[in-house]
Amino acid sequence: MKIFGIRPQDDDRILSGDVFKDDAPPGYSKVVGLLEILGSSSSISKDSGESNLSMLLEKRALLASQDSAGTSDISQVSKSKKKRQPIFVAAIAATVLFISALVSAANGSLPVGLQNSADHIMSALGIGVPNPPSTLTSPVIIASCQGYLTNGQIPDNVQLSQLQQLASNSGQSLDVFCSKQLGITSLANSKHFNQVSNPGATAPGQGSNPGSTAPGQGSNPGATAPGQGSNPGSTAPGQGSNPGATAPGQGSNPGSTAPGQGSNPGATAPGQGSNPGATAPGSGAK
Amino acid sequence: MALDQLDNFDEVLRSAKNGNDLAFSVIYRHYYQSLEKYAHFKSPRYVDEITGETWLGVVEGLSKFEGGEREFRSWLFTIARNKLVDILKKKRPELVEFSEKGEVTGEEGDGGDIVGEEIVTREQVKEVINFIRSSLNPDEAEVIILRVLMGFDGREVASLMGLREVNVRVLQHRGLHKLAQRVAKAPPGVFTNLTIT
Repeated sequence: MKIFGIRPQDDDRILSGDVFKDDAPPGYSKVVGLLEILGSSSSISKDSGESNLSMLLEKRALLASQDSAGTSDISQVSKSKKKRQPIFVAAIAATVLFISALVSAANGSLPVGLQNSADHIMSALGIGVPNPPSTLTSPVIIASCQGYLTNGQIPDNVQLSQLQQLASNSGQSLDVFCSKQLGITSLANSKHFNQVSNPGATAPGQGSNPGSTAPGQGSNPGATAPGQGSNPGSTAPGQGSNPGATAPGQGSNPGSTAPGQGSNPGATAPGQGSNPGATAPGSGAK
Repeated sequence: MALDQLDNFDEVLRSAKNGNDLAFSVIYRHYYQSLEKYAHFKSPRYVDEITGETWLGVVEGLSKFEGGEREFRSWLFTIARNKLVDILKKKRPELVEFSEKGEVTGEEGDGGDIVGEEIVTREQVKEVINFIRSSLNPDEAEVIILRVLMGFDGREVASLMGLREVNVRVLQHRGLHKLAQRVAKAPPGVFTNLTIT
Protein backbone atom coordinates (compact mmCIF):
# COMPACT_ATOMS: atom_id res chain seq x y z
CA MET A 1 0.00 0.00 0.00
CA LYS A 2 1.33 3.36 -0.98
CA ILE A 3 1.64 5.70 1.98
CA PHE A 4 1.20 9.34 1.09
CA GLY A 5 2.56 12.18 3.08
CA ILE A 6 0.19 14.14 5.27
CA ARG A 7 -0.15 17.82 5.93
CA PRO A 8 1.92 19.32 8.77
CA GLN A 9 -1.19 20.20 10.72
CA ASP A 10 -2.21 16.55 10.56
CA ASP A 11 1.10 15.66 12.20
CA ASP A 12 0.21 17.85 15.14
CA ARG A 13 -3.32 16.47 15.39
CA ILE A 14 -2.15 12.87 15.36
CA LEU A 15 0.59 13.46 17.90
CA SER A 16 -1.76 15.41 20.16
CA GLY A 17 -4.21 12.52 20.23
CA ASP A 18 -6.93 14.49 18.46
CA VAL A 19 -7.29 11.91 15.67
CA PHE A 20 -8.96 8.54 16.22
CA LYS A 21 -7.98 5.46 14.28
CA ASP A 22 -11.09 5.55 12.09
CA ASP A 23 -10.60 9.22 11.25
CA ALA A 24 -6.91 8.95 10.46
CA PRO A 25 -5.56 9.80 7.00
CA PRO A 26 -5.17 6.82 4.65
CA GLY A 27 -2.36 4.54 5.80
CA TYR A 28 -2.08 6.17 9.22
CA SER A 29 -4.76 4.38 11.18
CA LYS A 30 -2.35 1.76 12.50
CA VAL A 31 0.08 4.47 13.49
CA VAL A 32 -2.66 6.22 15.41
CA GLY A 33 -3.43 2.92 17.10
CA LEU A 34 0.19 2.53 18.15
CA LEU A 35 0.33 6.04 19.53
CA GLU A 36 -2.88 5.45 21.49
CA ILE A 37 -1.23 2.53 23.21
CA LEU A 38 1.89 4.58 23.83
CA GLY A 39 -0.11 7.41 25.34
CA SER A 40 -2.23 5.22 27.56
CA SER A 41 -1.80 5.46 31.28
CA SER A 42 -0.71 1.87 31.43
CA SER A 43 2.48 1.42 33.34
CA ILE A 44 5.29 -0.83 32.24
CA SER A 45 6.24 -1.72 35.79
CA LYS A 46 4.37 -3.93 38.21
CA ASP A 47 3.80 -1.54 41.07
CA SER A 48 3.58 1.64 39.01
CA GLY A 49 6.33 3.12 41.08
CA GLU A 50 4.54 2.92 44.44
CA SER A 51 7.59 1.48 46.17
CA ASN A 52 9.63 4.39 44.87
CA LEU A 53 7.00 6.82 46.08
CA SER A 54 7.27 5.69 49.70
CA MET A 55 11.04 6.01 49.52
CA LEU A 56 10.73 9.50 48.03
CA LEU A 57 8.32 10.58 50.78
CA GLU A 58 10.83 9.43 53.39
CA LYS A 59 13.48 11.44 51.61
CA ARG A 60 11.23 14.49 51.63
CA ALA A 61 10.64 14.12 55.33
CA LEU A 62 14.35 13.80 55.94
CA LEU A 63 15.11 16.89 53.89
CA ALA A 64 12.38 18.85 55.64
CA SER A 65 13.72 17.94 59.08
CA GLN A 66 17.24 18.84 58.06
CA ASP A 67 16.10 22.14 56.62
CA SER A 68 14.28 23.04 59.79
CA ALA A 69 17.30 22.13 61.88
CA GLY A 70 19.53 24.04 59.51
CA THR A 71 21.88 21.12 59.28
CA SER A 72 21.07 19.67 55.93
CA ASP A 73 23.74 17.77 54.15
CA ILE A 74 23.75 20.35 51.42
CA SER A 75 24.23 23.23 53.82
CA GLN A 76 26.90 21.31 55.70
CA VAL A 77 28.75 20.73 52.51
CA SER A 78 28.47 24.37 51.55
CA LYS A 79 29.56 25.43 55.04
CA SER A 80 32.61 23.25 54.94
CA LYS A 81 33.35 24.64 51.51
CA LYS A 82 33.01 28.15 52.90
CA LYS A 83 35.42 27.26 55.70
CA ARG A 84 37.90 25.88 53.24
CA GLN A 85 37.73 28.91 50.99
CA PRO A 86 39.80 31.33 53.15
CA ILE A 87 42.45 28.66 53.67
CA PHE A 88 42.56 28.04 49.98
CA VAL A 89 42.83 31.76 49.22
CA ALA A 90 45.52 32.20 51.86
CA ALA A 91 47.49 29.31 50.42
CA ILE A 92 47.31 30.81 46.96
CA ALA A 93 48.31 34.23 48.28
CA ALA A 94 51.27 32.74 50.17
CA THR A 95 52.39 30.88 47.09
CA VAL A 96 52.15 33.99 44.94
CA LEU A 97 54.06 35.99 47.57
CA PHE A 98 56.78 33.37 47.79
CA ILE A 99 57.19 33.20 44.03
CA SER A 100 57.28 37.00 43.79
CA ALA A 101 59.95 37.10 46.48
CA LEU A 102 61.99 34.52 44.62
CA VAL A 103 61.68 36.46 41.39
CA SER A 104 62.56 39.72 43.13
CA ALA A 105 65.55 38.09 44.77
CA ALA A 106 66.67 36.73 41.44
CA ASN A 107 66.36 40.18 39.93
CA GLY A 108 68.09 41.76 42.88
CA SER A 109 65.20 44.11 43.43
CA LEU A 110 64.54 43.32 47.06
CA PRO A 111 65.36 45.83 49.79
CA VAL A 112 69.00 45.66 50.85
CA GLY A 113 68.45 43.75 54.07
CA LEU A 114 66.16 41.24 52.46
CA GLN A 115 68.38 40.93 49.44
CA ASN A 116 71.36 40.19 51.69
CA SER A 117 69.35 37.56 53.54
CA ALA A 118 68.17 36.09 50.28
CA ASP A 119 71.75 36.14 49.04
CA HIS A 120 72.94 34.21 52.08
CA ILE A 121 70.13 31.69 51.89
CA MET A 122 70.34 31.19 48.16
CA SER A 123 74.10 30.98 48.13
CA ALA A 124 73.84 28.31 50.82
CA LEU A 125 71.65 26.43 48.40
CA GLY A 126 74.12 26.98 45.63
CA ILE A 127 72.00 29.52 43.80
CA GLY A 128 73.52 32.83 42.94
CA VAL A 129 71.49 35.98 43.19
CA PRO A 130 72.65 39.51 42.41
CA ASN A 131 74.13 41.56 45.19
CA PRO A 132 71.86 44.19 46.56
CA PRO A 133 71.93 47.33 44.52
CA SER A 134 73.67 50.31 45.95
CA THR A 135 71.44 52.38 48.08
CA LEU A 136 74.13 54.73 49.22
CA THR A 137 73.14 58.32 49.21
CA SER A 138 75.54 61.11 48.68
CA PRO A 139 76.20 61.94 52.35
CA VAL A 140 76.67 58.29 53.12
CA ILE A 141 79.12 57.92 50.24
CA ILE A 142 81.11 60.83 51.49
CA ALA A 143 81.11 59.62 55.06
CA SER A 144 82.13 56.14 53.91
CA CYS A 145 84.85 57.57 51.77
CA GLN A 146 86.02 59.65 54.68
CA GLY A 147 86.25 56.57 56.80
CA TYR A 148 87.99 54.66 54.09
CA LEU A 149 90.54 57.32 53.29
CA THR A 150 91.16 58.12 56.91
CA ASN A 151 91.30 54.66 58.39
CA GLY A 152 91.99 52.56 55.32
CA GLN A 153 88.91 50.49 55.88
CA ILE A 154 85.16 50.52 56.24
CA PRO A 155 83.82 48.46 59.07
CA ASP A 156 80.55 47.84 57.31
CA ASN A 157 81.22 45.20 54.67
CA VAL A 158 78.01 45.97 52.89
CA GLN A 159 78.90 49.62 52.56
CA LEU A 160 82.38 48.69 51.46
CA SER A 161 81.13 46.37 48.77
CA GLN A 162 78.63 48.92 47.61
CA LEU A 163 81.29 51.59 47.50
CA GLN A 164 83.57 49.28 45.55
CA GLN A 165 80.79 48.54 43.15
CA LEU A 166 80.10 52.21 42.62
CA ALA A 167 83.79 52.80 42.03
CA SER A 168 84.07 49.94 39.59
CA ASN A 169 80.95 51.09 37.82
CA SER A 170 82.61 54.43 37.21
CA GLY A 171 85.81 52.69 36.11
CA GLN A 172 87.89 53.95 39.01
CA SER A 173 89.72 52.51 41.91
CA LEU A 174 88.18 53.03 45.28
CA ASP A 175 90.87 55.47 46.25
CA VAL A 176 90.33 57.65 43.21
CA PHE A 177 86.59 57.38 43.51
CA CYS A 178 86.62 58.43 47.12
CA SER A 179 89.06 61.19 46.55
CA LYS A 180 86.87 62.56 43.82
CA GLN A 181 83.86 62.30 46.04
CA LEU A 182 85.55 64.24 48.79
CA GLY A 183 87.37 66.72 46.68
CA ILE A 184 90.99 66.48 45.80
CA THR A 185 92.32 68.60 48.71
CA SER A 186 90.77 66.23 51.16
CA LEU A 187 92.92 63.53 49.69
CA ALA A 188 96.03 65.23 50.81
CA ASN A 189 94.86 65.14 54.38
CA SER A 190 93.81 61.55 54.13
CA LYS A 191 95.80 59.46 56.50
CA HIS A 192 95.23 56.46 54.39
CA PHE A 193 96.18 58.32 51.28
CA ASN A 194 99.32 59.76 52.84
CA GLN A 195 100.37 56.56 54.41
CA VAL A 196 99.47 54.02 51.86
CA SER A 197 98.45 55.06 48.45
CA ASN A 198 100.54 58.16 47.88
CA PRO A 199 102.61 59.18 50.84
CA GLY A 200 103.86 62.70 50.76
CA ALA A 201 101.77 63.73 47.85
CA THR A 202 100.27 67.11 47.89
CA ALA A 203 97.06 68.24 46.57
CA PRO A 204 97.03 69.51 43.02
CA GLY A 205 97.75 73.12 42.82
CA GLN A 206 99.79 73.07 45.92
CA GLY A 207 103.54 73.25 46.03
CA SER A 208 105.09 74.35 42.81
CA ASN A 209 102.15 76.21 41.57
CA PRO A 210 101.27 78.71 44.21
CA GLY A 211 98.73 80.39 42.16
CA SER A 212 96.62 77.46 41.57
CA THR A 213 93.69 76.60 43.60
CA ALA A 214 92.66 73.29 44.90
CA PRO A 215 89.74 71.77 43.14
CA GLY A 216 86.48 72.56 44.76
CA GLN A 217 87.82 75.55 46.52
CA GLY A 218 86.85 79.03 45.64
CA SER A 219 83.64 78.84 43.74
CA ASN A 220 82.55 75.58 45.27
CA PRO A 221 81.86 76.07 48.92
CA GLY A 222 80.52 72.57 49.19
CA ALA A 223 84.00 71.16 48.78
CA THR A 224 86.03 73.51 50.87
CA ALA A 225 88.71 72.55 53.26
CA PRO A 226 87.75 71.27 56.68
CA GLY A 227 86.01 73.71 58.92
CA GLN A 228 85.42 76.13 56.16
CA GLY A 229 82.43 77.04 54.10
CA SER A 230 78.86 76.86 55.02
CA ASN A 231 77.96 73.29 54.14
CA PRO A 232 78.80 71.07 57.09
CA GLY A 233 77.25 68.10 55.44
CA SER A 234 79.84 68.05 52.74
CA THR A 235 82.92 68.76 54.68
CA ALA A 236 86.21 67.07 54.30
CA PRO A 237 87.12 63.97 56.28
CA GLY A 238 87.28 64.21 59.99
CA GLN A 239 85.39 67.39 60.24
CA GLY A 240 82.33 66.02 61.89
CA SER A 241 84.09 64.25 64.64
CA ASN A 242 87.34 66.05 64.55
CA PRO A 243 86.83 69.73 65.02
CA GLY A 244 90.50 70.31 65.44
CA ALA A 245 91.46 69.07 62.04
CA THR A 246 93.26 71.50 59.90
CA ALA A 247 93.07 72.24 56.27
CA PRO A 248 95.34 70.30 53.92
CA GLY A 249 98.90 71.27 54.34
CA GLN A 250 98.16 73.18 57.44
CA GLY A 251 99.78 70.66 59.69
CA SER A 252 103.19 71.50 58.31
CA ASN A 253 102.44 75.13 57.94
CA PRO A 254 101.33 76.51 61.24
CA GLY A 255 101.51 80.01 60.11
CA SER A 256 99.19 79.72 57.25
CA THR A 257 95.55 80.22 57.47
CA ALA A 258 92.88 78.17 55.95
CA PRO A 259 91.99 79.03 52.39
CA GLY A 260 89.09 81.32 51.88
CA GLN A 261 89.09 82.59 55.37
CA GLY A 262 88.25 86.19 55.94
CA SER A 263 86.10 88.23 53.72
CA ASN A 264 86.72 86.17 50.65
CA PRO A 265 85.54 82.65 51.31
CA GLY A 266 85.98 81.67 47.74
CA ALA A 267 89.63 82.49 47.66
CA THR A 268 92.17 79.78 48.05
CA ALA A 269 95.45 79.64 49.76
CA PRO A 270 98.04 79.84 47.04
CA GLY A 271 101.39 78.37 47.72
CA GLN A 272 100.32 76.46 50.71
CA GLY A 273 102.76 73.86 51.86
CA SER A 274 105.82 75.14 50.03
CA ASN A 275 105.20 78.71 50.91
CA PRO A 276 105.56 79.01 54.64
CA GLY A 277 104.33 82.14 56.09
CA ALA A 278 102.14 83.01 53.21
CA THR A 279 98.73 84.11 54.04
CA ALA A 280 95.69 83.41 52.13
CA PRO A 281 94.37 86.17 50.01
CA GLY A 282 91.84 88.10 51.88
CA SER A 283 93.13 87.04 55.20
CA GLY A 284 94.70 90.41 55.56
CA ALA A 285 91.36 91.87 56.24
CA LYS A 286 91.02 89.60 59.16
CA MET B 1 -9.93 21.73 46.72
CA ALA B 2 -9.15 18.08 46.97
CA LEU B 3 -5.52 17.31 46.39
CA ASP B 4 -6.06 13.79 45.19
CA GLN B 5 -6.60 15.01 41.63
CA LEU B 6 -4.69 17.32 39.36
CA ASP B 7 -7.63 19.61 38.68
CA ASN B 8 -5.51 22.59 39.53
CA PHE B 9 -1.89 21.77 39.05
CA ASP B 10 -0.59 25.03 40.42
CA GLU B 11 -2.44 24.53 43.69
CA VAL B 12 -1.23 20.97 44.04
CA LEU B 13 2.31 22.00 43.19
CA ARG B 14 2.25 24.78 45.77
CA SER B 15 1.06 22.33 48.41
CA ALA B 16 3.76 19.85 47.45
CA LYS B 17 6.38 22.56 47.74
CA ASN B 18 5.06 23.38 51.20
CA GLY B 19 5.59 19.82 52.33
CA ASN B 20 2.24 18.22 51.62
CA ASP B 21 3.04 14.58 50.85
CA LEU B 22 -0.40 13.89 49.42
CA ALA B 23 0.06 16.64 46.87
CA PHE B 24 3.47 15.29 45.97
CA SER B 25 2.01 11.80 45.56
CA VAL B 26 -0.60 13.15 43.15
CA ILE B 27 2.06 14.74 40.99
CA TYR B 28 4.21 11.65 41.17
CA ARG B 29 1.44 9.30 40.11
CA HIS B 30 0.33 11.64 37.37
CA TYR B 31 3.72 11.70 35.68
CA TYR B 32 5.21 8.38 36.70
CA GLN B 33 3.99 6.31 33.76
CA SER B 34 5.06 8.85 31.17
CA LEU B 35 8.47 9.18 32.71
CA GLU B 36 8.82 5.44 32.96
CA LYS B 37 7.95 4.95 29.31
CA TYR B 38 10.32 7.65 28.31
CA ALA B 39 13.05 5.99 30.36
CA HIS B 40 12.22 2.69 28.72
CA PHE B 41 12.49 4.31 25.33
CA LYS B 42 15.82 5.91 26.17
CA SER B 43 17.38 2.94 27.91
CA PRO B 44 15.36 -0.19 28.75
CA ARG B 45 18.06 -1.55 31.01
CA TYR B 46 18.12 1.42 33.33
CA VAL B 47 14.48 2.35 33.65
CA ASP B 48 14.50 2.07 37.44
CA GLU B 49 17.71 4.05 37.78
CA ILE B 50 16.50 6.81 35.49
CA THR B 51 13.10 7.20 37.12
CA GLY B 52 14.48 6.89 40.64
CA GLU B 53 17.23 9.44 40.08
CA THR B 54 14.84 11.78 38.30
CA TRP B 55 12.32 11.81 41.13
CA LEU B 56 15.07 12.23 43.67
CA GLY B 57 16.13 15.28 41.70
CA VAL B 58 12.57 16.54 41.86
CA VAL B 59 12.41 16.03 45.63
CA GLU B 60 15.66 17.88 46.15
CA GLY B 61 14.85 20.75 43.82
CA LEU B 62 11.14 21.17 44.27
CA SER B 63 11.41 23.84 46.95
CA LYS B 64 13.31 26.04 44.51
CA PHE B 65 11.20 25.28 41.47
CA GLU B 66 9.23 28.18 40.03
CA GLY B 67 6.56 27.81 37.37
CA GLY B 68 3.37 26.07 36.40
CA GLU B 69 2.45 22.76 34.86
CA ARG B 70 4.18 23.27 31.53
CA GLU B 71 7.37 24.38 33.21
CA PHE B 72 7.18 21.42 35.59
CA ARG B 73 6.84 18.92 32.75
CA SER B 74 9.81 20.41 30.96
CA TRP B 75 11.79 20.45 34.19
CA LEU B 76 10.93 16.82 34.91
CA PHE B 77 12.03 15.57 31.51
CA THR B 78 15.11 17.75 31.51
CA ILE B 79 16.12 16.11 34.77
CA ALA B 80 15.42 12.71 33.25
CA ARG B 81 17.58 13.42 30.22
CA ASN B 82 20.42 14.67 32.39
CA LYS B 83 20.18 11.72 34.76
CA LEU B 84 20.24 9.35 31.83
CA VAL B 85 23.48 10.91 30.63
CA ASP B 86 24.97 10.58 34.12
CA ILE B 87 23.91 6.96 34.40
CA LEU B 88 25.24 6.02 31.02
CA LYS B 89 28.53 7.70 31.84
CA LYS B 90 28.88 5.54 34.93
CA LYS B 91 27.86 2.35 33.22
CA ARG B 92 28.92 0.84 29.98
CA PRO B 93 26.92 2.30 27.13
CA GLU B 94 24.48 -0.27 25.96
CA LEU B 95 23.85 -1.26 22.39
CA VAL B 96 20.53 -0.37 20.92
CA GLU B 97 18.20 -3.25 21.47
CA PHE B 98 15.44 -3.82 19.00
CA SER B 99 13.78 -6.65 20.82
CA GLU B 100 12.83 -6.86 24.45
CA LYS B 101 10.68 -9.97 24.16
CA GLY B 102 12.84 -11.99 26.50
CA GLU B 103 12.44 -9.46 29.28
CA VAL B 104 10.39 -10.42 32.33
CA THR B 105 7.48 -8.04 32.45
CA GLY B 106 4.96 -9.67 34.72
CA GLU B 107 1.62 -11.17 33.95
CA GLU B 108 -0.08 -10.08 30.79
CA GLY B 109 -3.12 -7.95 31.34
CA ASP B 110 -2.01 -6.92 34.80
CA GLY B 111 -2.22 -3.19 35.38
CA GLY B 112 -3.55 -2.48 31.93
CA ASP B 113 -5.34 0.60 30.69
CA ILE B 114 -8.39 0.56 28.52
CA VAL B 115 -7.91 2.18 25.11
CA GLY B 116 -11.10 2.09 23.11
CA GLU B 117 -12.42 -1.38 23.72
CA GLU B 118 -9.02 -2.98 24.25
CA ILE B 119 -7.03 -3.43 27.41
CA VAL B 120 -3.49 -2.17 26.93
CA THR B 121 -0.93 -4.22 28.75
CA ARG B 122 2.60 -3.42 29.87
CA GLU B 123 3.86 -5.79 27.21
CA GLN B 124 2.04 -3.91 24.49
CA VAL B 125 3.39 -0.58 25.65
CA LYS B 126 6.91 -1.93 25.59
CA GLU B 127 6.38 -3.40 22.16
CA VAL B 128 5.19 -0.09 20.75
CA ILE B 129 8.16 1.73 22.25
CA ASN B 130 10.55 -0.83 20.83
CA PHE B 131 8.89 -0.65 17.43
CA ILE B 132 9.20 3.13 17.30
CA ARG B 133 12.79 2.96 18.41
CA SER B 134 13.71 0.37 15.84
CA SER B 135 11.86 2.07 12.99
CA LEU B 136 13.12 5.62 13.36
CA ASN B 137 16.35 7.37 13.97
CA PRO B 138 16.88 8.48 17.58
CA ASP B 139 15.82 12.11 17.10
CA GLU B 140 12.69 11.25 15.15
CA ALA B 141 11.74 8.65 17.75
CA GLU B 142 12.36 10.99 20.68
CA VAL B 143 10.28 13.77 19.15
CA ILE B 144 7.31 11.44 18.72
CA ILE B 145 7.72 9.86 22.16
CA LEU B 146 7.93 13.23 23.91
CA ARG B 147 4.97 14.63 22.02
CA VAL B 148 2.75 11.64 22.68
CA LEU B 149 3.78 10.81 26.23
CA MET B 150 3.71 14.28 27.70
CA GLY B 151 1.69 16.28 25.25
CA PHE B 152 4.57 18.65 24.62
CA ASP B 153 4.15 20.92 21.64
CA GLY B 154 6.83 21.39 19.02
CA ARG B 155 8.40 24.36 20.76
CA GLU B 156 8.69 22.55 24.08
CA VAL B 157 10.24 19.51 22.45
CA ALA B 158 12.67 21.75 20.62
CA SER B 159 13.66 23.37 23.88
CA LEU B 160 14.12 20.01 25.60
CA MET B 161 16.18 18.52 22.81
CA GLY B 162 18.17 21.64 22.05
CA LEU B 163 16.79 21.90 18.54
CA ARG B 164 14.96 24.52 16.52
CA GLU B 165 11.21 24.17 16.30
CA VAL B 166 11.32 23.84 12.53
CA ASN B 167 13.68 20.90 12.90
CA VAL B 168 11.30 19.26 15.33
CA ARG B 169 8.46 19.63 12.83
CA VAL B 170 10.55 18.03 10.10
CA LEU B 171 11.53 15.19 12.42
CA GLN B 172 7.96 14.46 13.50
CA HIS B 173 6.69 14.54 9.91
CA ARG B 174 9.37 12.13 8.73
CA GLY B 175 8.85 9.96 11.79
CA LEU B 176 5.14 9.56 11.28
CA HIS B 177 5.60 8.79 7.58
CA LYS B 178 8.25 6.17 8.32
CA LEU B 179 6.08 4.58 10.98
CA ALA B 180 3.16 4.33 8.58
CA GLN B 181 5.40 2.68 5.99
CA ARG B 182 6.88 0.26 8.52
CA VAL B 183 3.50 -0.75 9.90
CA ALA B 184 2.14 -1.33 6.40
CA LYS B 185 5.11 -3.49 5.49
CA ALA B 186 5.32 -5.36 8.77
CA PRO B 187 4.92 -9.11 8.24
CA PRO B 188 2.30 -10.95 10.22
CA GLY B 189 3.35 -11.74 13.77
CA VAL B 190 5.48 -8.65 14.32
CA PHE B 191 3.01 -7.15 16.75
CA THR B 192 2.33 -10.28 18.69
CA ASN B 193 0.74 -8.47 21.58
CA LEU B 194 -0.96 -5.69 19.72
CA THR B 195 -4.43 -5.57 18.32
CA ILE B 196 -3.87 -2.77 15.89
CA THR B 197 -4.65 -4.59 12.69
